[in-house]
Amino acid sequence: MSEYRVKLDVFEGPLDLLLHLIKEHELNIYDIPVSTITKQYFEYLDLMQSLNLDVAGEFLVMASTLTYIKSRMLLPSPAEGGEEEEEEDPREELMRRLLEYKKYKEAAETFRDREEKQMLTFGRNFTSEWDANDADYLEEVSVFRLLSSFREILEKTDNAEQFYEIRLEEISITEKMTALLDMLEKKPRLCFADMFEGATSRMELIGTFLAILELMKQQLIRVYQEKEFGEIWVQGGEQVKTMDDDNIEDQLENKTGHEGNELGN
Amino acid sequence: MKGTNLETEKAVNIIETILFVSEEPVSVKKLEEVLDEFPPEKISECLGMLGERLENHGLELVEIAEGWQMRTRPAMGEWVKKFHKISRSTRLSRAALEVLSIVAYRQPITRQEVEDIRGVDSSGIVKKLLEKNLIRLLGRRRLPGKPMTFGTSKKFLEYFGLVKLSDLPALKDFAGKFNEAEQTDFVFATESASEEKEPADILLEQEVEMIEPVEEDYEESLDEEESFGEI
Repeated sequence: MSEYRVKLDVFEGPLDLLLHLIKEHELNIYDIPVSTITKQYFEYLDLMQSLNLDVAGEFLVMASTLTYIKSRMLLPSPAEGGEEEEEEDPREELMRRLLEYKKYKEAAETFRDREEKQMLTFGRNFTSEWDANDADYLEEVSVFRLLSSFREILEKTDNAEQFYEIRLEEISITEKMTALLDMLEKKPRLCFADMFEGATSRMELIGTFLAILELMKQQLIRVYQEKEFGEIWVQGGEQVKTMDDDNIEDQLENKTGHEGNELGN
Repeated sequence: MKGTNLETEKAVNIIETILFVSEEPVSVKKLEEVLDEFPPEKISECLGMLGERLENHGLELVEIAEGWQMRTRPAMGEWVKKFHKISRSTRLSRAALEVLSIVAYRQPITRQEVEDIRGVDSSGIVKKLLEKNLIRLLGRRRLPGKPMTFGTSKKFLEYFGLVKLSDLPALKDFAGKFNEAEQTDFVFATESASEEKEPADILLEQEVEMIEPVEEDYEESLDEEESFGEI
């Protein structure tokens, strides 16, 4: 299992992680508490590394940027009373980048709505080019949101530590993936935490989590939330296959409900 | 007068036929060219009539991607899927949508500029979107290394059911869903953002005149950049 690496950079980058942290901890993006966010950032980095996720170099660059900003914040500003140039807030550059990026992220969400709508109609030129063999990913829940849920699950089991570490188990991610798909065949959808039911060791929990990421990558499952910070649901292949209009329409309604006029015309 | 009615009727039929055989949305200009003996100002009237004619059909007439197209109605989606044995619909990844929205709003834009905004390597995604024809090459920037610039394609408009690019909501409307009080502080940030945007517009003009045949070498240069991995 140590051989198994899920590439994270195909999912999201360090700016996503920061935005996730800001949202999760309800931080003020215009006045980012640098030491708090740096601490949390490093916690995620550690978690990702301990899961053996292939952390892109950009994450490390951002880590050093944060550390740098943090140290700049600690330095006393050279306020010699004089009318020296106003010292720029060391966080400003980062804040700008986050805000700029966030705009495009939000715009991307409206593209998702449009895509969803448009997917129900076909022109003559529709071809199999959009077919399922395309290993593109669908992840409606950000990978960081999943990481934070997974961390809760890990913590819960750590507290209720009843594991007897007897032997080094061999856990095959492929087997896990099949097992998860079997689970999802029986039920139309499961909540994220249910996917870990029956896991008897920390190792197995991690294996399950990696299997979920892999299934998401291959679009064999669909992971979504009905509302932000709501329950995370996992939907299996069968459901994705036969996803009927009702389903999609419901989702569209949900979305339009939340985001109102953004669908526009 | 009778004659004209007949003519209109016939024109509607012709338009219907053209839209049926065409794989892509057909622009009004194209229709005018084909129906060259028909008064061009009446084309849109004919389109309206065709739309009405299709009212109780499985198909509908849609304005999309700078043209017109007959498409299956959303309610027919499941039957198309059944017929074509489409088991599941592949959607674009979050990352791909992000890159697309950056390209859509900032075109012409280089890959490096996309990555500067996203803060993460995007070469694999850019390549994939090129393959899917959702973005296209616009030209090269007059900068060291002559980086390629990208923009969205017609296919992009069609994929998202847009008539034209300007139908997209303005980027400034995405000022963030932070609370109102914070919004006021935000003013300076938007201002500076819009300042930043102007150079891109200027570059657009420059670029129009320098669209070179780049097709041959762009594949090459993409390959040079190694490690696209699977996106």
